[in-house]
Parts: sequence; structure tokens; C-alpha cells
Amino acid sequence: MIKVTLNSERKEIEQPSSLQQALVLWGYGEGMVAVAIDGQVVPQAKYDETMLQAGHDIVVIAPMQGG
Amino acid sequence: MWKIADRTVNSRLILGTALYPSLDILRQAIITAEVDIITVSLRRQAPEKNAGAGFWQAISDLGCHVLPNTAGCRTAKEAVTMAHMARELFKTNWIKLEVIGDDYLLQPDPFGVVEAAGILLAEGFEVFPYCTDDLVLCQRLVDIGCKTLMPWGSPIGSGQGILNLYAQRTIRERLPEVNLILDAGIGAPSHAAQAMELGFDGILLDSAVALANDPPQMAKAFNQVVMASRQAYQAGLMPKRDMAQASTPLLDTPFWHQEKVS
Repeated sequence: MIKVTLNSERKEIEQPSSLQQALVLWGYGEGMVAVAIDGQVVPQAKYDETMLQAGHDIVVIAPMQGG
Repeated sequence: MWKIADRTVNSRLILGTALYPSLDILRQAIITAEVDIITVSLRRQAPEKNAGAGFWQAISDLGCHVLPNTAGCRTAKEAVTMAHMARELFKTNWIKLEVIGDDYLLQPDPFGVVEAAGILLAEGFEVFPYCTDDLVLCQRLVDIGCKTLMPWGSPIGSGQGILNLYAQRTIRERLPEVNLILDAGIGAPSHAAQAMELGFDGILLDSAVALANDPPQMAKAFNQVVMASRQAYQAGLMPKRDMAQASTPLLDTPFWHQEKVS
């Protein structure tokens, strides 16, 4: 198991885990979201090949109403 | 029709999507106002909450182009990261760039805006900077490649209208080639008309419609006033005079008195 943060909350996840696997595990599924790891946006096409590492700071964002 | 960034659109009114009583009323307002561009934002999403998906489903079939903002960013670095996220999420290279320098006034940080705009322009973004009405700041943003500027009329959500008409007029006169969108502070259609009659290319507003008793009706009012005041600008407003000038010719009217010459 490795420790990462998801939207500032601590999470543990088995290693190895891809970003795609983690998003499904965490319940994001097919939702319209974008993801950044350590401040770098990960293109959706690279979710499968992006492997999570200990200490990763993961931010998942979704559309919101704005002015 | 007019060109903004890489698009040609009909409406010169851009609507924000926040603060509406419901998503249904938001939809009605967008449809009634016949807008082509709406602003959106992004937030951290907990998996158990589906609010983001609900909002997106409510607007995605309206055919509007979305203009994501970087609301809440206080540094250029934050704004650049948020722009990257917005591009990935909304599949657009448009970004309404907000870097806030004062939390009470939500006043744009001119230094942060210029720094972030330079980075994002180099990365191929169409940057719509939310800025103050400072001419030199606006000039600097144009110098680095911004084709559209969004100077504030007054603080966001204040409804105070245009606080410095002279500054807005000066920006328009000195930067005739750039698209100018008045953003923030508009509370009434007359405020929008003031900007459009100065020659602004468009209006971006949110609270004035969303907080109205009848948002769709207010959206329609803004749509009409923006179109009318644009036509007035194109028709050419008469010059102001300090003294009266009779509209009815007075020469030879029944009680006309010719000035006696002694």
C-alpha cells in the first residue's frame, strides 16, 4: 500500500495502481472530471499508463457554475 | 455577427452561470438571452457528489461555447495550472484569466495577470484577461498578445456599474483594435448600454441576471439593450454641447425678433 492525497484527503491504495484504476476505485467512474498530479494535468488518454506513486498529490476537478 | 478570438458569434452578451435559483432557470435565461458564450468554472470534485455532472448536463445541449474562468486563483502559477485543468476538462483553449490581488474587492492583480497571460499565450491559449481599467495595464496585455480584454466596471457582484467612465472611454479610444468586454459590476441594463455606447464590443455579466426576481426576463432585457446600444454606437452619437441649440428652426417663426443693429 502507498499513501497519496486526493483533493487534500489522505488515501491508501495498493501498488501498483494506475490512475485509471484509482479513479474507478474512488468512485469517479465515467464522470466528467480532469485530474492533476503534483500540479501537472494528466491527459485522459494517459490515465492507464500513469502509475501512482507514494506522496502523489492528486486533484480531481469537475465543472462548476461560474461568472 | 462579430469575431471573438477564433469564433464568429451573434450575441455580444456573455452570461455567467452562477448564483441562479435553479439549473432550470439558468437554462431559461441562457435560451431567452440568445447568448452564444457562457462562462463556467471548475472545482474539486468528491466522487459521492454529482453536482458538476448535473450542471454540465443542464447546459451542454444548449450549443453555447464555454469560457472557463480561473476564479479563486491568487497567483499566476495557480491560474496557469487551473487553465490547464480547464482545457483538459472543457476541451477548449479559451480561458477567462482571473488572478485576484485583493480578497475584499476581488480586484485583479495586474502583475499576476500579465505574468500568467504571457505563459498561457505562449502555450496557445486564447486568453481573456479580467483586468482593471488601467490603460497601461491594458496596453501591456495587448503588447504580449491578448486580443480581448475584460476590464472591470466595478467590483464583481457589486452592481455599481461603471465607476470610471473616463478610464473606459480612454481604453476604447487608445486600443481600437482589441475586443473590449466590460466584465464585472454591472447591475442594470443602463450600465451595459453605457459601455456599448462607448464602443465596447460586448458585455459579460452574471449577478445582474441571476439575482433578478425574474432572471429570464432580465436576461432578455440585457440582450435587447446590448443590441440597441451597439446599434446606437454604430449609428454615431451626437456630440454633447454645454448650451441649448434649438431643434426647431427659429428664423421667421411668428414671434421671431431679429436682433437690432444700432
